[in-house]
Amino acid sequence: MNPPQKELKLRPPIPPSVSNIKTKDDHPLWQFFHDKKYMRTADELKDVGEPWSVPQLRRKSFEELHTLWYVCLKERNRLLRESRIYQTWNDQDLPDDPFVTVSETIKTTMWRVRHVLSERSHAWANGIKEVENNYTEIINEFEEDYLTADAAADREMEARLERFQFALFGINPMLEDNVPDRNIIKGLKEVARLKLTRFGASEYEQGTEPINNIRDINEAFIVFTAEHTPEGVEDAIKTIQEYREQGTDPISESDELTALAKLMFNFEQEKISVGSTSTKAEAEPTTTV
Amino acid sequence: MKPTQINFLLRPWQTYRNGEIFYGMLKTGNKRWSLTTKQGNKTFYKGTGSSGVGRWTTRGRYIVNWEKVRTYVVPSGIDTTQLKPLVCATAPKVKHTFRGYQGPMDGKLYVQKVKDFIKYGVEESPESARNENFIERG
Repeated sequence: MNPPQKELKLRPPIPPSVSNIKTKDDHPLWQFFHDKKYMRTADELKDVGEPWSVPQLRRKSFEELHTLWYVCLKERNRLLRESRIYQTWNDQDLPDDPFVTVSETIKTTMWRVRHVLSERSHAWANGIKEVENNYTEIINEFEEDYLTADAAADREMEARLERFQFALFGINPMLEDNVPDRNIIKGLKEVARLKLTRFGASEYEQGTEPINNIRDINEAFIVFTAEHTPEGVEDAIKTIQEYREQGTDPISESDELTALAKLMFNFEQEKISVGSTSTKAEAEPTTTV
Repeated sequence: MKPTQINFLLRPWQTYRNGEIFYGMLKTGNKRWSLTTKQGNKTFYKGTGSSGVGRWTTRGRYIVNWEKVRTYVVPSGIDTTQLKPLVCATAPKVKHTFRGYQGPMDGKLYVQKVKDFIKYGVEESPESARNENFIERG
């Protein structure tokens, strides 16, 4: 037996019209339309502004210039689409196409972005040469500022030290984001020396051997991670004294990279464990209540 | 001055070893059009800059080498940015003087900027600040 057939009904045909087509508001192709308009009028493109000037662009960061480049590119795509329609309607390649005119103006912004980037690249290359020649001078200049500032400027000096280590040695303020290399080791030692000279002067009352030099990466790391206060460095000095009393040989230069990687890993683990216990401590009262 | 050898001035400049000319059979006429993909000898490859992103296997499959595929790094803030492709015509015209330096690419200026960064951070240093006439050191 055949299954019962559905009754078929003849419906009136659906007339083709725009209202039958539904487009999502966030359809990606809307990016090719200005304000979801089919086309802008020539009047709308009259006073659009002028291209960015080079001095204006020089004040922008790389991320901003990168974004601006893509903004320009998208706008030119929009204009190109509109220009094509304009030319089809006018049935010829018109010399006074307003869309092309604006597009050319945006092109000026774009070459200026590239100009500024290339300028920056050349300046960087020249600057590196200059830094190599005046390396000690730059460090000495900072050292003088850093060591002569009084205790009231501790906070300010901490911020400056952080920028100093980032600018000259590439040490990221977030320690776990760094990849150990020779330059970072050099920077850690330099920063440790500076901190020790600034805060370590009044710490020799116990009659123990004064600690005024960094022997290896381990000691440098202890001082580097110490708080930027006299107390913080005092604690670090005590830790170093304990470390020296153990009588182990200082870490040699060839083993420094692996030692630093280990130190950073331990530091991170410690941070995670401290973080988890502190969140637990915070969480406990809420559970009891 | 020694005159240039005549065969250096005759077109076409490049010939095969047997004297046959490199492209085109006529020695006259405009030969300064760009080469198309169909021209040149067997070693000439022009392409369209669009393929060649992998290799063919002996079984006829194509393995894409993703390191050769071009990628576009789109900035993360593209949808939220306030930046526009053009600026207002009445915006102040900033001028850079580079006083005391050779120009924007001077290495000494770069070093000075590094020093200023260490000292002032993201704040402007007094030397680089803009004055009331919109003139800056740069």
